[in-house]
Amino acid sequence: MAIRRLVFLAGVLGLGLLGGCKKDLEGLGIQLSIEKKTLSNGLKIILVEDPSVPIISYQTWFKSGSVDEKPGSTGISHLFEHLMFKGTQKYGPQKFYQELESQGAEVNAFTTRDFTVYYENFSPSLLEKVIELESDRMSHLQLTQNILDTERQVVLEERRQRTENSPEGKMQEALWQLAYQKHPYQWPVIGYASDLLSLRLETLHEHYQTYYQPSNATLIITGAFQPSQTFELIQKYYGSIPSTVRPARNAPPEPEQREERRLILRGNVHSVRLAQAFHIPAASEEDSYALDVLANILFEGESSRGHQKLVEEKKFALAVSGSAHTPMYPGLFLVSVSLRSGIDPDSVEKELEKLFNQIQHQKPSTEEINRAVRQLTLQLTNSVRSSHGLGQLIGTLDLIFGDPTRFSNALQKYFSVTSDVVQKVSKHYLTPNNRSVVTLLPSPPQGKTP
Amino acid sequence: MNRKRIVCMLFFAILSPFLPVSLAFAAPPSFSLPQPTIETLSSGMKVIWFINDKLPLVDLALIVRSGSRHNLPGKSGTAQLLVNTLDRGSTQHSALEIARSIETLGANRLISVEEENFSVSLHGLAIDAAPLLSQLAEISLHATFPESEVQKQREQMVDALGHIPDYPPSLASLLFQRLMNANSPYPLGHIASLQELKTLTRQDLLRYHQTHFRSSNALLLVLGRIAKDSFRNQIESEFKLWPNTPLPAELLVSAPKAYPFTALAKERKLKPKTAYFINSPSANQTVVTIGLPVASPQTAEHASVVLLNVILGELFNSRLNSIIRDQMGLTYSIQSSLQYEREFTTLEINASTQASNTPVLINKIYEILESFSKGEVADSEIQTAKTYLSGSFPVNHSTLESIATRWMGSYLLDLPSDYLQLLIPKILALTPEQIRKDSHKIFYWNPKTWTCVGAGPRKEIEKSIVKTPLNRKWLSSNRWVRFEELL
Repeated sequence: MAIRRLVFLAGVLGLGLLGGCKKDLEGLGIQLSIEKKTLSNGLKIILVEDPSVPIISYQTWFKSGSVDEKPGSTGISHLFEHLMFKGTQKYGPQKFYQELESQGAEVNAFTTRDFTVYYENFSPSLLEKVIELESDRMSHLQLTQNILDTERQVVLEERRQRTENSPEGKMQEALWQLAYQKHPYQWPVIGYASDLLSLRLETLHEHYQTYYQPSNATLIITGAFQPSQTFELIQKYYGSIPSTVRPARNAPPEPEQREERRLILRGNVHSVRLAQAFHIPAASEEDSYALDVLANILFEGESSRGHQKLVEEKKFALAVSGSAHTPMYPGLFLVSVSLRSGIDPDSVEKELEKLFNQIQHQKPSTEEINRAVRQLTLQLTNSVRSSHGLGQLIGTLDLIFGDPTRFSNALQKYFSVTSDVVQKVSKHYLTPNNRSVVTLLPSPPQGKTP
Repeated sequence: MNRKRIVCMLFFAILSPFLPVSLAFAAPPSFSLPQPTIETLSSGMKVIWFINDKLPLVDLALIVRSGSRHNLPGKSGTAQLLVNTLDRGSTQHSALEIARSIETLGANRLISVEEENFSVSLHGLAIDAAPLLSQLAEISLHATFPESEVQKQREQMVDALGHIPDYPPSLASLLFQRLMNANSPYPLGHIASLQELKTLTRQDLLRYHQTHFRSSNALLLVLGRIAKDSFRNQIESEFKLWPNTPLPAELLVSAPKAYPFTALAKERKLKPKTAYFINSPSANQTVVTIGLPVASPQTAEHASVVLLNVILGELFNSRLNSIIRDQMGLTYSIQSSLQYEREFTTLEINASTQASNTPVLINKIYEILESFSKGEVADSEIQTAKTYLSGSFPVNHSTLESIATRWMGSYLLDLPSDYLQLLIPKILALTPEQIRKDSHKIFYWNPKTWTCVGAGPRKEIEKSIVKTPLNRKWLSSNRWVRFEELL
């Protein structure tokens, strides 16, 4: 989900996140207490008390993602996420799950291009145990060659499952690689198989020491807990973990794209697929609000322009989708089409081109703008239905903007998106020279095997 | 990481705006499930209210208690085509007008069908509850199934089915369903043959709609921030014209005609110890599904089924994951789950592995299942599973949507309204001896009902089986199935 969408939601709910203050969610009858603190070792803590739920969501966000990787060691952030479950001196292999999952906690993690997140959703009685275990693995993880070798195989299986055996997975990997030539967003979060196979134990130890330290982490706790007692527990367990210098991010900027890039993939597939990407700015840039609205006008729902043209009117596609992906660094406006049998991908490209030309020359209607904003409102409201979702919202804002109190301003910016601005961003970004195109075609037929 | 545990999802698909969650959970004595209010309106339709003001959201789900199982002989695909066409035109509006009306509210809609239920769901902001209800009634009651839309949707479905071979998980799932359900009340699935789908007409849809979409066969779920009294009045008004006549007595399809996959099932009877594979030449992984029928929720034995599933494969620390993923590194994701139809419950294991490891994975899964059939379940495993089931209760019920989803799941299986509340005490009361005895019975190996399928690259799989044969104790042969034998 684009960060702008998250920002927007908080505004809709009237969330005002001020340090240590309490704020009513206007008209909703809920009072959330949101506090932000920092330990002396640099660990940031955001506490969001919500006694109306019977659980706690505890999330540890590390500023470590594939954007921090180097060629040759792609996938190390994600592989390391797996290794974080492999035990410490005090709590050996399987113990993390035995202590938490076996007590009913939901335990998991995920890695993105910009950060890695570990989370537990659990009954309040488990709070101290969660804090103890999370602090323990932040400082005392034990890795062996055997653990690395086994988990590397698991990740390679994950790569096969998500990317190599999925037409969409293959397309997306190729598209990002085509669109970025300098910036680390060019490689997949899961990494390349050859890099994963060459990662050494020493390199993973270095990764742990560099990124897994308090000054590079933020704890986000939402749900049924008492903030002052929780903070005391955090101090008790995390307070003595030392921090070294917080790693600086030095991702090389992506130069402006000046000509169209194209790639044709061939595979043993029955159906043709087409994907396009246009460079757009980062989440923190003003244009990203209008780009979200533009994406919804073009591709969100059956009444969107893209669906009506390609699926209903021309009958070229089984499905079409599009979104503005705006992470921490400049992102991509992504379009994906699954073609109906016998349709030439050139025809689809021409229709997409017409679609973009149309909105570049004829402003979207007020009704279209309102519909898009309403859709975004609902999507964002949905994201806080659970304590876990609320934690993800706050974590994303904090990591991207360094300030979870941006909500209200961001809401106003969404509301202020006009048809002129949407037209302007469509003209600026949806241009042929800014476009990368990947087409997946069936290989020529060979000998038949049932 | 981020491996999803998908348990008991089959019937929850009808409530897709809600969270997919497990029916298997534990209730600590201090936690009582909130119960909905149930009313029967003058139209005969039941309304189930889960009201909560916390967020400015509303979910409306009209559930019609008929599904693909009720397709007429030779008309398989009717219910599925009806789902795809239901919102494509009404007595008042075109497909585009309907889509635009709902999407202008920012709302989502999802229309789906299972073997025995349709669901027409709308999800939006609470301030839009009234127009959303009007839309729901218009779609459900006043659909006209325009000829052009029926043709368009039918063509799209046929085209989309042709894409299945590009997705090994879908291939494995279809093959598994054909074999596993062959002797169940649900042998045909949503679509038995492409040929039948191609011949379906608008008249078929109208006939199905007129027969099954009636208030006596439907219920409405209302969830979220709602002013109940005024909303009830609106429901009465919107649905007052819906026929309240009882369903015809005989609705179920008897003896299905022969399809290629029914021949496959007959052939299987002669050679039950067979692993079935389907070729996916572009894949480098094999998707494996192994399953067996188990005792239904209506039986006393089901409490043991739920508990043993936790020990087998619901958790990261369950046996399948601990051994096959954590120790052997054979797969990224392996889990067992319970799948429910009203008259058929199965336990299924899903995993994928690089093609060269296919027989190793299958043999290992069978080896683990064999240990359950011998009743080899440790006291510590039983205790852990009980603690998990109790402790996960508040986590699984932390939102109104998850509570409503679970409640509806049991309701649609015709289980007592207190079923969910009483299941955990039943499980906690099981003795280790009883569980081991049940494990022996539940996992007692029956080659006629245990089903093993794989979808992956034929050349690599065949090579791997030459190198590491499938264990003949369970699987003495393998059979390659063509896609044309399935649809």
